[in-house]
Amino acid sequence: MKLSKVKKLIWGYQIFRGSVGCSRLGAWSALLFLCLSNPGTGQPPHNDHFALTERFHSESEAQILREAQYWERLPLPIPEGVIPEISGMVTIPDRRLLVTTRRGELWYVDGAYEDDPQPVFTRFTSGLHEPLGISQAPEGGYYVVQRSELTHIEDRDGDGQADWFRKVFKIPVSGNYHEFAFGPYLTREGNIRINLMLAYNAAFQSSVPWRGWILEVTPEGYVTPIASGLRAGAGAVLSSGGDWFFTENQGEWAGTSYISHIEPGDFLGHPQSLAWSHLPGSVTHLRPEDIPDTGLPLVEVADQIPGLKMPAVFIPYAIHGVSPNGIVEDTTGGKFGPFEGQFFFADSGQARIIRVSLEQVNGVWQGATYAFMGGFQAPVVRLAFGEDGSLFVGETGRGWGSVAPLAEGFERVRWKGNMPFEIQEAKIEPDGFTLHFTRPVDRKSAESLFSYGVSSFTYGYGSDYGSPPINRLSCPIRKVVVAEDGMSVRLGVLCLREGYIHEIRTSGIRAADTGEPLLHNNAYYTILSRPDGDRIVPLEEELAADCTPMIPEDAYKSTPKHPTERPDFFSRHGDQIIHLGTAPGMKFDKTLLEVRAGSQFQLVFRNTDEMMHNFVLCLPGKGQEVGMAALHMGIDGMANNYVPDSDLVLYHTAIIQPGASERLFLVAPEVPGDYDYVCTIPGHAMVMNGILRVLPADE
Amino acid sequence: MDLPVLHSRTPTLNRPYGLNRQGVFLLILGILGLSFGGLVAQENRPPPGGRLRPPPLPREASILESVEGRVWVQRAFLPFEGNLRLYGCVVGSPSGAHYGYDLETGSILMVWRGPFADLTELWFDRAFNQTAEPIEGALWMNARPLFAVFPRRLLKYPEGWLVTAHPLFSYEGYELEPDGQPVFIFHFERLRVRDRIASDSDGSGLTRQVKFSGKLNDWNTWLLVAEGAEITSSPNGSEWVIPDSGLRIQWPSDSKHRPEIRDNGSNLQLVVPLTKETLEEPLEYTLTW
Ligand SMILES: [Cu+2]
Repeated sequence: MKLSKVKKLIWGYQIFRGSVGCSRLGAWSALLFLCLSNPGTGQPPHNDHFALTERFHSESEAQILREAQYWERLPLPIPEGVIPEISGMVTIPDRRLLVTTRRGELWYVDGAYEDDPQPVFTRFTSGLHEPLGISQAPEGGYYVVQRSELTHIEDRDGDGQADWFRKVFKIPVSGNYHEFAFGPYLTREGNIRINLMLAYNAAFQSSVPWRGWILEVTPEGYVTPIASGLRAGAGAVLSSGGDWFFTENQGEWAGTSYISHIEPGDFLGHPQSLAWSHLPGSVTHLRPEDIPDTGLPLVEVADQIPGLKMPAVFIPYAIHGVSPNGIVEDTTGGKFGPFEGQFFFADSGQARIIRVSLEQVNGVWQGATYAFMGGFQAPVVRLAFGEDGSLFVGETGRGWGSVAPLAEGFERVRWKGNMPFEIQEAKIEPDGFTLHFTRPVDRKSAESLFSYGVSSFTYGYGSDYGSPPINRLSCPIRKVVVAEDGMSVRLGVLCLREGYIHEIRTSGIRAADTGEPLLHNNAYYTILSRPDGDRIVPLEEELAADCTPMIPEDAYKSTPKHPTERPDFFSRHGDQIIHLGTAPGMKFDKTLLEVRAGSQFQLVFRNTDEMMHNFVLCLPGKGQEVGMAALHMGIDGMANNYVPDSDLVLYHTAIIQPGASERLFLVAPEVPGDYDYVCTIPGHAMVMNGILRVLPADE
Repeated sequence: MDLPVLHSRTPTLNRPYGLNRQGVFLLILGILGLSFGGLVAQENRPPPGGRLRPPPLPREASILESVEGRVWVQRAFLPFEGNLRLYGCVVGSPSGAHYGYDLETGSILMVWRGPFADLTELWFDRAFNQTAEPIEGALWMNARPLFAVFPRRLLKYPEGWLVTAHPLFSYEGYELEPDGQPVFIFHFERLRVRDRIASDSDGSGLTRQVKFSGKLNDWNTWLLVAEGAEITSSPNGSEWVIPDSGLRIQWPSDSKHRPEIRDNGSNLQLVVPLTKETLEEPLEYTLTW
């Protein structure tokens, strides 16, 4: 499918949420239908000059090749007998690593730093219960987080094999598979933090104390709760400046994935964890019943609920990943490129790495995300900088979906030393942003208002699985000031909003030397606070600006491709009713359905999984193409059910929430054949697909 | 409810996964007196909306492991009596006798021979059950803890789940001998205990050696060796037999530790009292079945 076809769908739609009198599910469904019923006829809103072309941030082949000019990806060969489901990594002296795998093994890795790496794996120990992280213990040995234990592991006789496994802390578990424990993250005092995820039984639960909490444990096993409200966040980092940041995955009570600054007492959003806030040691007084389930923008709820923490950075769903995992700070002193002091996180679903800049404004951490590098061979979950400034990438996605071709692996990324043309950092100003660049910009391109676009949106907060981007607004750009040296540009922007992501589009910018566009356009900056200081746009002008969002298109419920209402010609039940469900691990429960050509049938799609899915029926052999096109829909994907506007799509459901279902009234194609059906939620189509076999009508 | 205490059966395969642990959850944290919680009652029922187990895996997807070279300690949840032991491991020996061990009670949960373990539910896909299971033919033991104290001799032996919260018992860790053989270390009040359970060289049985250091507590301290509706012994006291299950216990005739039979109400128990005099000597016996 041609990209241009998708692009038609993209111009700035507006979504409102929480219509009075709607049931929760009803409100959600209504939102999903708020896409453009006639996308070809609308005009882009004023000032949104590049909205048509700049929302596609999933990495294309061409993009991956461009990135490879600056950063080199070195897949590390894995010896026979090693299953590299790498779940944790620690770099240790003498150019070695120690890695944990989900199969419970710990391997020393030598030779991974070579130019033509042929790593040698030496087993340190085995038999652990799904370890998901490792740190060096200051007193010698290693801390490893197993599913039900924080363990101190040592080789006391020095023979290269672990021989002492001391329980530091018995991790509370109920036995549910989703009770992941992440860490160990060492504090400056030598304590160990662990992040305990919720159980999943049709809904997320905290069945035993401290699930959904961050705990700090001393080496002797004394415990202090730090923060609550976790759901399924698989990464955390202590910055060189001493601040804790935590990555969470989109889902219930997390409208999108996010990065939060963690301080003792914070409640991050998932109310299940508050079941234990009455226990001695709790650092919050919030109770589950204090948390309203409204779906209103998180920032509005957080204003009402003291202790509910706003994320430092909203990660725009599907644009900059779908499932953040490990996060690291670039402390390489420039050996990895021009991003010293910034952060990188691994996204397993999109098998890519996203860059993050953070700054503190009025005491509040906030910042932006930028695309960095895609095309990894397997779902990336763990990142660690080596002593030469290269980045080791641990990969495993067993049981969880991804766009990557392999299920597990181990790679290394090395900066080639030549300077890419990138947004080095977007920083907040009293009246807009300053974009810093890694190379001088071409003045003519940079001085043009038309080189930029800014729009903002945020996410709802409630028990629904994820939120569409809501309250979208175009932010007029009033002024552009290019720095003397061409290394930065200041944008004067109206209608900035606290608690909102601001999509800063930069497609018109060119490099002064080569005239090339940026390696990655666009920054997504979450504003929590705006600084005081010099303005380039007078305050009066900002106060006078009309920041009313566009009126949304009317919602529609049923379309020819999304026939949820029984057509008049339909017989009472149709010729048959087909029930299709989901199976764990991003699958449909049936991969072959059969209908007669031209017959009428009802398809009931029920989602019993814990994540969102849809059903998209495509022309024969076109399922993956449609899946890829959906991947490119960016921020508009969710508002359009992740269904590309394409002739390759015959029918589709809405995005179906966990536990929900939808019924379609369908007429089978007249031409017999094997028609693909896929789930087009980003990353799903490759594993979540099946065949609708249309049999000749007369047999 | 009185369950048969020693019985052989195949692992339960039809239990809903993710069932919440029943019984009592006592979180004892903190040696400095930082203690959270106390008793947190969990109702004994599946969670709301709990799902059925996914369909069985295709056989070719099963991950069946045998042991070669080193003894293999594999941490996992262990299925037991239709529930899960959440802090356990299976130990497989290249010599051929394997067992499951509960780190919360110091008790042997099951023993078996032959192929080692089915790790499908630990390593396949999302691994919904997170369990390691004997491949076949395990002899399932009782779940009562290795240690008990009785202020009065006539009290019943504590039931399994209560014991996980036994404040006197605390698991410390395990060490591995050069061939991978584990020695589990725990504390029972002021007593530090090293528990080594190893396959005999021909795989015919498991020999357990329990070493003590530290001090005996003031109450009577007992070790539970075996339990059954009936217990018979050879005339010289060198072998005890549980006819229900066929479990046999060989007792060194020169051991200072002298087992006794006590009546626990519905069952007889083979128990060993610990005294200041016997503490010095390791307690050792061999299980065959
Ligand atoms: Cu899906």
